[in-house]
Amino acid sequence: MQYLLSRRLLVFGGISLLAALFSIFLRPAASQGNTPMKDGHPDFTGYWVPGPAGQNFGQAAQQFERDADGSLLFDFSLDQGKEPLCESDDCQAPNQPPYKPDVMPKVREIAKTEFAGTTPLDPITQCKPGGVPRAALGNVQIVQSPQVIAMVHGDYSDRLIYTDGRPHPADLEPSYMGDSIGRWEGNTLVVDVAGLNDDTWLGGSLDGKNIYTSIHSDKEHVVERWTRRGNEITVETTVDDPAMFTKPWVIAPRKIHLAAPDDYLISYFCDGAETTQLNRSHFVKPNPEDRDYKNKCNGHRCGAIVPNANPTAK
Amino acid sequence: MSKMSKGIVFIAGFLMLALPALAHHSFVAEFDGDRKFVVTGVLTKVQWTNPHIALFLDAKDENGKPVTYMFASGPPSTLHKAGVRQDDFKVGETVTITAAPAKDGTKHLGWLQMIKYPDGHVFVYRNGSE
Repeated sequence: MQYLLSRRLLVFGGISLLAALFSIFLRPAASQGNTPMKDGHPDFTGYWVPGPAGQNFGQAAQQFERDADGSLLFDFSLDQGKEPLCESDDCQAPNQPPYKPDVMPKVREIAKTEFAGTTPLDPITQCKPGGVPRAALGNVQIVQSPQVIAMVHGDYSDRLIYTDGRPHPADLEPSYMGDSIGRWEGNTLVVDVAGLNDDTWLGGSLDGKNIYTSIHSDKEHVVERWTRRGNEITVETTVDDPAMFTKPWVIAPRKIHLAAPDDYLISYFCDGAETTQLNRSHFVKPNPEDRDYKNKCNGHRCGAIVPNANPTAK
Repeated sequence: MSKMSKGIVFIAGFLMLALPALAHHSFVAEFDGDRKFVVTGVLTKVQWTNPHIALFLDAKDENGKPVTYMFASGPPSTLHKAGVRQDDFKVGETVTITAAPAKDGTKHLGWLQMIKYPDGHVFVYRNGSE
């Protein structure tokens, strides 16, 4: 009996060893499939780009061809959508932050300075990090260990999400990207972000549809829920700001997906010089007589837009 | 443009999403896509930085006096993904640049639309207003 038991143990041990070796050496790269981490949690490691799976803006590079003499045609006109620019309230995105009444005058003041969805008042035009939620996604190399998940953007908006059970530091001082701690709820990573300074904005878009999405206070607090399904991660975000909001602001879910295998992170240094920060140095104020303003030109696509027969006076 | 009829493939630019709206600028708030100006001069410098690369051109103004023009274009990463590299812009060569002028009246600033080299090859950066 003992002999049989010990033989079973030996066989069992041998198989276990083989299985362990198999899983260590022949484990496929996590980015190729949904292979969990050794601790059982989903693995987010990989290079991710914005949008749902299958929506590859990077295909432009793969379709790229040059003429025989080296000529290149590169089109910027598709990069800002096909819809006319929004320059009035009736086309504004419905889900903008629920600012308190005493904050709205400041928000409106900022909105009035926007042209083509941007304004020199935006801290991003001074090369400041985008903060959370604005710079939470983007093109990101995620490097995951059981203790910490690094979200690397290759610029000053990198983030570390501590998953080792620690709380926010008791003496936490506000910073651009704040302090992020994460815990698992099943297969969802729940991230709590605190310590965000007030020198970032909550968002904006170049189509002009989010001109009432701007400031927040240093009481901002964000909860994100990251869930991976196949080659796509969905991030649900709730932003609260007890000083400026009437209630928490739930953003529509955003998605990132694994980049093409030959795609990689290119680091970004934002040069604050006048020559590169055209949004500040050569920005013109919204002018109802401006041809692009009247024709609701979205980014570069002015020639394609039919002039509005009934321009809205502002 | 004769070069366009040589079968150059139309290259799409990059969609910029609502959140995060990083790195990009608003063309119509700074440049007039309805107008253009043409300058010939020596390409002296390529500034390959974010959020816009810049090309610097030494030319002569209408009085024959030396003047430096600056032409802006997209972010390096966007150009990189379309196969454009920093040394595609040949410093030291005499080139002809077509550009959209600045709306604020700055005379020696433009948004790069086309750069033509002595051997005749061109880079065309369309902005949708042609």
